[in-house]
Amino acid sequence: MLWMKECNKTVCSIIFVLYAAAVAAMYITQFVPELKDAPAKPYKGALQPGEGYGSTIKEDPAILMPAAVESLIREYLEGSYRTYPLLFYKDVRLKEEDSAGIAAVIEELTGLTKAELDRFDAYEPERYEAALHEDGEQSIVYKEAQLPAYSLRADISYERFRELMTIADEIIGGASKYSEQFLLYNFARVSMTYEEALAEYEEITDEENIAGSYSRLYCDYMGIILSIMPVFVCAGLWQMDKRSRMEELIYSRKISSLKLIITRYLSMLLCMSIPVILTFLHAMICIRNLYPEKNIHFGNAIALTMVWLIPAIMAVTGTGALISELFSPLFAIFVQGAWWYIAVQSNQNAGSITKYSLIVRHNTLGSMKLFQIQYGNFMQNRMGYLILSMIVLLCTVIIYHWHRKGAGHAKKILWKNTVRKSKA
Amino acid sequence: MQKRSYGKILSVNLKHNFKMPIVSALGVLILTLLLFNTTALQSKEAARPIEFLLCFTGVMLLVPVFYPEQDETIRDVIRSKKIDYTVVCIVRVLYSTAAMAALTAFMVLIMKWGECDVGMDHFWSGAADAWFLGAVGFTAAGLTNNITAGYMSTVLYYLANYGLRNELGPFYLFAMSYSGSSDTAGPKILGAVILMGVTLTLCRNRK
Amino acid sequence: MNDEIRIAHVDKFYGKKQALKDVSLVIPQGMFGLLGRNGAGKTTLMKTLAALHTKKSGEISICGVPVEDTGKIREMIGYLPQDFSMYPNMSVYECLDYLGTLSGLGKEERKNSIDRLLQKVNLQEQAGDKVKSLSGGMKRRLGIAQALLHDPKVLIVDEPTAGLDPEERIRFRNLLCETAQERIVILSTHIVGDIEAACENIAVMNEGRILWRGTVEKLIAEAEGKVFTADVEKDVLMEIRKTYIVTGMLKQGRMTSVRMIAEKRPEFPGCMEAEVNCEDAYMYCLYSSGCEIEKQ
Repeated sequence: MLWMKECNKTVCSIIFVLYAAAVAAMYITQFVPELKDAPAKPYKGALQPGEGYGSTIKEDPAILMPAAVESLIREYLEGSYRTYPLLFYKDVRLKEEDSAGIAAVIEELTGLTKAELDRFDAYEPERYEAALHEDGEQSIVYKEAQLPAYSLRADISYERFRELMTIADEIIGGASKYSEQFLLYNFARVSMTYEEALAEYEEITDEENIAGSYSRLYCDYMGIILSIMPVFVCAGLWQMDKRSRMEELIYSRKISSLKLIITRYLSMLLCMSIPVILTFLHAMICIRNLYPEKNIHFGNAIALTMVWLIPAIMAVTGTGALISELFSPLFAIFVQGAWWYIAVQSNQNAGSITKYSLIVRHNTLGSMKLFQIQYGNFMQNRMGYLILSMIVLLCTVIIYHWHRKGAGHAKKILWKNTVRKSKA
Repeated sequence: MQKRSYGKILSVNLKHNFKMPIVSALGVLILTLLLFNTTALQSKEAARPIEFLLCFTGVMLLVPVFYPEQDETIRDVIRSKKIDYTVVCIVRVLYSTAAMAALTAFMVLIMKWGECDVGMDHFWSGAADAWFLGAVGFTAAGLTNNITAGYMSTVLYYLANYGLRNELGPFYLFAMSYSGSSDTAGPKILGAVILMGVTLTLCRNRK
Repeated sequence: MNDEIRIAHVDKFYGKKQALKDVSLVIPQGMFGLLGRNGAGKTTLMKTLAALHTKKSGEISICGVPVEDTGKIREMIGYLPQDFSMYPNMSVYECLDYLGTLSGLGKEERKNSIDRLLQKVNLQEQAGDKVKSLSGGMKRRLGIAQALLHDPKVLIVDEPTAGLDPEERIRFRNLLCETAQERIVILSTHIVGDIEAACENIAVMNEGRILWRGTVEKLIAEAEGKVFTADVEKDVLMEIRKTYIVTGMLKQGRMTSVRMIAEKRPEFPGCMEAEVNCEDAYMYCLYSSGCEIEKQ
């Protein structure tokens, strides 16, 4: 059985051992601490200063719209826009025509014209100032930003508001506070009341939801590691063929390129799934022990985990195989490394699930509603990666077959290496 | 005579074995410039691009030191010569370190021009991070005789820095972004020297 | 300083597997052949002599220098591994120049040496070609050139002719013979023809032990009177293959001419004593030393 032999080859490589160690390390250091205790029930009573029930994100137009519009006016007046292309702050200054575009958005939202905005010279940013009291003591005082008088137009629908925010984000150049990715995160965050905190606690500990809550957090951590490590396993196996000069021996065998590549691919997937399955099983056993009195339903959690993680492993392995075959295994590692780095840095811990990011984050046990809001994006994202992985797999088969028939290596053709044909 | 030999080893290796590492290290530098803001940053903020991404230049330059001799027959031929193979590796480590330091210095200069609050602390901190992270990969690649394992271990070490700041002590990569000081540069450089020294000794004795 | 290699009671282990078992040998100047099956321990012994492997016990001295003194040993030896390969993107000249540098040669010395050796191995025209563009035979000739660059006292070549065409093999053997006039050349092979054509002294190895040592003539002499030929029919042939060690068969019509090894003349009609060649002698050596030989 070829697939057994391929599995054997994968599992016996040092790279796979490191892969399994990485998955185990991520699980043990990040997720296992969450399994030590069940979340505490919120305590009802008078809150001391600095205490609170935490915050949540609520897609409430009444909160979201004024906050976002105020921010946009303030940034227009400052002439600089904060963006977070990799979660690291990047300052963007716009050209005159782009600024006019933002002014048009503000005008549609508030009625304030560009001329009115540009005339307003009393603008002062929000700030903290040192104040000297009569008794000689100093204290820090918060001063609100000085903005022109405006009010949100009553006839603006929430849908139109979202469209305008997308337009503003496009003008700024993406990854701004108004982007789909960051809008809710920045402007829909509200402090939770006791009732909301209790509701979230009950939601987490609800028999129907426990497994789902924990599996979202599990997938959040595992998604990070599974979006990079499979490329090493794949590149390592491709490299092994090159190092042991096996390529041509394999080329000359009867087996079809389709069967060979698919068998290899599925064997790698199977082997790489083993540490994930084992850690997931352990997690589920721990959850059962954490809530012995509850009748926990694991079905949805298992389905969610599969939908979340399998496309990631498939896409990374498939892309790794394609680039290894097309260029070289080391190049596959570099490309995947860059892709992973960008993906890992451009996601908030929760609330920023987009249609395209390789990594999906939801780094909290609660906020189920927030996840539900973004469920459409989540499913499109994962299905997209599933389809992408099928396409790259097919491309790998075609390229492999092409090489097998003696066509030149792509890197040689692209980089025009001066290869002279063997005189043998 | 001996000096000339080292010069020749240096020039041949620069010509034949340095292309891939330097191109990939330049790739990291370009990626850092593209992805991060490098203007008007405070001291701590300015350490972020250097510590969070530029440190991978060390990985790109130091992990491939053993790569040209991954093929055992080439390694045997090289090892059968009078000049020790370890010397060849040390020459490669030295020019890779120089290149890494140059790239870090270049980045710090660019940030200086961008009116960031950067200085020698940033250079030392960035260079030490890059060297230490590179040394981790160098060790893994040398001991396993597998370059893929070298790259993999650096990603693992990098990830560990997100969750294990206290556990990693002076070898925490993002120390300057966190504390604003470059105090850990010394221990990191020392750690890298020890890691690479042990690796070269073990590889030399592996027969 | 004496001009010989002395190996005394050498043991070498790979984990639990013993690769060399109490190996003792004296190798004089000239061509020395190390003959044995694949996996007999020839490469391990060669690498140990080249200071690429450490031994567990025993002593080895090369021209009076203990093998542990790796610096001096590497000045004295030239090594050509089995499946020689080099950095594929270097040109032939660059490759030799680099390896010459690693052998501690000065610029002028390298230039002279490379020009002389390229001519000797007939690769002058390929000096600017990349290593990856050379044919198998050319690569092997480049291998011998790199091993001779620093004019070593000892040349160790591991399976140098495997995979070469007959013309290249002969050319390579002659090159080695020329080289052996002023130094010790140790040639390991499982191709008996190479030994017969090129080596004066040989040792036969099996399962990490030295089974036999001496000259080729002596090896052949020991097998004299033990090799027989006969023209037989198919059913007799089956019987012979079960009973004797068959070293050759040639089908001629209904009859097959068979060549076999036996302690005394087999008792069937037409069986005659044959002239012993090196291959028969090698097989007889394995047989008489009690090695398991699969009857065909």
